[in-house]
Amino acid sequence: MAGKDFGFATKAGRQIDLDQLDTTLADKIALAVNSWRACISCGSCTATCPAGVKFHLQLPTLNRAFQLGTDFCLELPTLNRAFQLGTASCLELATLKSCLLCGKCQLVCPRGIPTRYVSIQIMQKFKSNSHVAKGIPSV
Amino acid sequence: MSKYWKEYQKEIAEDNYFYVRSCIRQNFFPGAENLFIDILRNKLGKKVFEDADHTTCTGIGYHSDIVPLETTMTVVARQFALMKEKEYKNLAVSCVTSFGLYSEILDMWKHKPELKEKIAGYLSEATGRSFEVPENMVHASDILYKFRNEIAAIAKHKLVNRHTGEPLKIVDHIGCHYAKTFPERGVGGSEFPQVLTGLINAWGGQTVDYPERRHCCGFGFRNYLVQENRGYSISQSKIKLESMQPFEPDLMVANCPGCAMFLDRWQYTLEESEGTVYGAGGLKIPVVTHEELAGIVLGYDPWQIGLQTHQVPVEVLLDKIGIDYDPELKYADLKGNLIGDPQMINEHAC
Amino acid sequence: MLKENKHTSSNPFRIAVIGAGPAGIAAAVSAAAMGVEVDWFDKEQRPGGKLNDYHQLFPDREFADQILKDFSGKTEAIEIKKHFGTIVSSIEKVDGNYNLLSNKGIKGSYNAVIIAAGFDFFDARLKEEYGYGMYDHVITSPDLEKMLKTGQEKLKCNGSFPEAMAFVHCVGSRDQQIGINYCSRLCCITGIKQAIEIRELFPSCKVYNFYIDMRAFGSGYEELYRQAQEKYNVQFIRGRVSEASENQQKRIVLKAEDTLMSRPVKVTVDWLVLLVGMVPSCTMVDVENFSCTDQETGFYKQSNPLSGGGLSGQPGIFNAGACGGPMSIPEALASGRSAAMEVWQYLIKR
Repeated sequence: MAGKDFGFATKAGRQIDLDQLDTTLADKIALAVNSWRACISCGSCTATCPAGVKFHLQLPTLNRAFQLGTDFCLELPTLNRAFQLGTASCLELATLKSCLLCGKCQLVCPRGIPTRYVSIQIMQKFKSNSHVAKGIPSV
Repeated sequence: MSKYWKEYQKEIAEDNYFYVRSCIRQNFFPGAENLFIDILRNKLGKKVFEDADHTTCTGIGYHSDIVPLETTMTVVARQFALMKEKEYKNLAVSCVTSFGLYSEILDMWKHKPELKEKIAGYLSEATGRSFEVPENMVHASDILYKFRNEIAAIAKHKLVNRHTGEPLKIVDHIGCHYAKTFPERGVGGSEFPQVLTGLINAWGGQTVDYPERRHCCGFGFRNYLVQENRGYSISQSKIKLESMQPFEPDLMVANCPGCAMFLDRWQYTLEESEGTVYGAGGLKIPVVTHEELAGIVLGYDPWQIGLQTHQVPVEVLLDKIGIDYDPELKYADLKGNLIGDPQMINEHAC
Repeated sequence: MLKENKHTSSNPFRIAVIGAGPAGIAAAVSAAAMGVEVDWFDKEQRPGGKLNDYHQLFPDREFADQILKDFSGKTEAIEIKKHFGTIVSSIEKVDGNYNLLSNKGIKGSYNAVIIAAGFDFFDARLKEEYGYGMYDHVITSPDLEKMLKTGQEKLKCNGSFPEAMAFVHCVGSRDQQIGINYCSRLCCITGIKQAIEIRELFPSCKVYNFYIDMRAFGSGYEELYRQAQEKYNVQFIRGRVSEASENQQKRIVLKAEDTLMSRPVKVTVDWLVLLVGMVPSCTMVDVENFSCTDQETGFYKQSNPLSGGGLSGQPGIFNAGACGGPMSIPEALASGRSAAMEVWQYLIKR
């Protein structure tokens, strides 16, 4: 119903509700690359990433978003939900497109995470969902 | 070293109070302060003095960045001067904003005595008065807490649902400035405040400890003064209402002017704008102040103590407790003349 | 069992060891093995100290009971005079030797004293915002250790096994609010170990560890941390829980920020485990007149940690183990042995 307009309205929350946590996607990636969960958000990868310096690619943030099942750029649907609905046009995936697969991230990762492979895995997982194939490069 | 909640017990003076009113409470719920004085004087036999020269503490102006700190301190020093002139040492504060502000000023003076001297100079220059800090300073709800058992002993009603025999489920809401800045100045501290739950339990009710119990009501100061900002304010009340909803409370009690006001009025706003109500059975949840709760159990006439000034109708609550009231006289003046029901105005009034 | 006794009249040294936890065990056994006559005191009736309440030890997950058995093998194999159930309250110096004042009278006279009085767990009630002592399902790490020891049934909530649990790191450590600035060092690894145990016991239970810095300093600790992440999928969230409250199902609702995401988070758990830090024992022996305690932390201080272990600065008084600051069991054992060695050096030079 269209409610009465008082000239102000309640704000949408920005609290991540972990009770709603859906880690299907994170679990899929972890199945392929187990060490992915060992990320400590040190930022070594982002610091020297060509796409991180010029665009928004930040693997640790992407990792956290996956672990929490949260899409930090879209307010409403979670990343997993977006994935299921095939509406993933969110910032994370857009930024993954800018990955040059140069491998520097992998070279500097102290946890030994094959980050290059992680990028490929995420892109492939999304690509296998036909709705979201658009705009994601073939790898 | 820090303390845990049971150790936060403050000294509350026994008698002889210099009572300072709130500016906004007299508009929001005009009966509450008179009721408090009546309970103290006529039910508990205490001496309460009110000074006609007492003014606003400037709290809202101060918190809205309109009144500078030193002006606020000088005004507060003047209230203390009035108290000194009338030879009172126990300050009883009606408003949580004032109480918080006085507490903060006393703390600043304690750490910076030269600031206190400076303010004493300003006060003397402006008014020729001199002041002393109160020996005992409490919030009005502290005094009701102190005498909760005495009130229970002479109460006419219990906070019990007469249809089911069950205690009423009551949510307490403590104004942030009562104890969050100085936990030692609040009964029970700030995380597990006892000041209102003590009243509820003593008078037969059941307290509800819901997850967002400690969350700010959203009143803020800048956050509601400007219409465009009120979204910040109402969003916080909504968090609280959503959190307490599953507990199906019968009543909310708040000891702070802004909290009691907005937890009440925002329910109306949310119903109108979002179509949501948070009480059981599609009803809103009545909100009263600590004095009004005391007045209810002591058997005062609901319309004489101003319960009709709340936005959420209190009749459901009165019916549950079994309090007699004349629906015809809800909007009558003190002499019983009908003054007409409130009318909806087209301007945004809330 | 044939007891070894190297004590001879040519070696007439007599010392007291106060405390029968790991450090006290190591100190008493080492000193006795060097031929010193040892009087051994503890407030409890049995040796082992807090180890008696532990289930498994980090990082290798040995059972505490097995370690205790190994210890008692060592203490039984050598002559040590036990005075268990004795609460030593202070030490006095008489003619260059020391007497102990206790609930069982004065004992003496000793050429030297090793204090291995251990530590207490931080009283989690002081962090009011976590609701320890208020909510049934808020427990501390030692509470959980006891529950794990007595079987998983204790961890049932509303009749079923937990679906979600959270650990809060640094409760009672690195916190200006409670005046404790130091890091208790062992809580991180305790949280990692307990998180893994929970994930093993209840594979479908989600486990969140809220940390501010992960400090996995000891041998094998970092490896266990990595295992917790990779193998056990424990969610480590960087952020300090700032409020816990209870919902209608008596589950605990937490508020924190995932500071790596720059977003507030909320989660509901069946159990909240507070990883409590280590504080000086409340039964610490009064050696104030020997100025043995650190003014800031309250732990016994070492006069010069580089020149020898356990030197208090007072000739003949030594300390060992966690009464000198947070310490792991292997460190406490090493500290006990080191103090015994220093005592020996002191005795032969006398």
